[in-house]
Amino acid sequence: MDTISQNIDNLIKERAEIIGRLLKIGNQLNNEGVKFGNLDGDNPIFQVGLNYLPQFANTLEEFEWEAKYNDGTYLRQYDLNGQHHFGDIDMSKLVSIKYVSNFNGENDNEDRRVILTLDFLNGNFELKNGKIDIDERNKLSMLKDISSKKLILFKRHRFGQMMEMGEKITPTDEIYMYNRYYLGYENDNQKVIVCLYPNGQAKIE
Amino acid sequence: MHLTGTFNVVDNVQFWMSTDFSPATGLTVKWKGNNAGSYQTPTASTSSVATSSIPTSDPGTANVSIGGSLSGQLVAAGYTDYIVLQLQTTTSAPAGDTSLAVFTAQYDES
Repeated sequence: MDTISQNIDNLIKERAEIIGRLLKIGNQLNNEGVKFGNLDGDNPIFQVGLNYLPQFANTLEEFEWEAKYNDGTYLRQYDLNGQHHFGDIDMSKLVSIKYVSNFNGENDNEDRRVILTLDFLNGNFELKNGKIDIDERNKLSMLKDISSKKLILFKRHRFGQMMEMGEKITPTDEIYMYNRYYLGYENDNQKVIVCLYPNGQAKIE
Repeated sequence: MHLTGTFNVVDNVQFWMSTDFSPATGLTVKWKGNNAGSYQTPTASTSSVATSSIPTSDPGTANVSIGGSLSGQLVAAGYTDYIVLQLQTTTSAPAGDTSLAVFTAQYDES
């Protein structure tokens, strides 16, 4: 075999190995809930699986919160009036608050969305359709203190963009996003925070 | 960094370079994210502002200031303080080809 032909074979082999590795890493990141996408002008567009609900494309949120009040009404993070935030929640009326996923979890239940609920009156957490280690679930069931408490509710938003470094720094349109959602409470005795990962896993912080 | 949309508070802003350059020979990035002052005009000279090595993993705590403080907050759409970056090269950097790197920002939003 001549040198050029050998070189082409080597490069094809190397390319196949890189593609294989890329697919493997892509699957691992996907399993963790990392989203890759592109910028269309200023608009980010992410590739997601078929288990994602249409709502995700509108809000780019894996989870949205919903507050239930003692008069039977609800305040949802996204409703016909637009987007609400932590400061809009009426704490004096709050009965419970939950995160509801914009994707279906890995289960056969009728409603397959992942839902983490905090009963704000008694401090109990309930996780439906999500993934949690048995030890963590046991810990969660023991963590409750009904004394006066402050709600903890926030998102840790991470995003990145690939840059091309040449004569000058040029942003490419390849982006990624990784969100974590936190729900909990604190009082003088304890601080309890549960982190919801974008793959439906829950962990006590 | 410009934060828009509806939120109660944005804080705990962090910035890092997720990946090293590929290829990385002869290339480093210096930066300043805490109280970097005013806009810096790009320069071919060594920056007197961007003097620290940029973190290459999640720093864990805020490293980009808001209103001159790492514990600063935004309570409405607005800007963090400037993040000043400078790419520095040596003669060992290969000519011609460009390198790729991923820069990441993170913050808490309620």
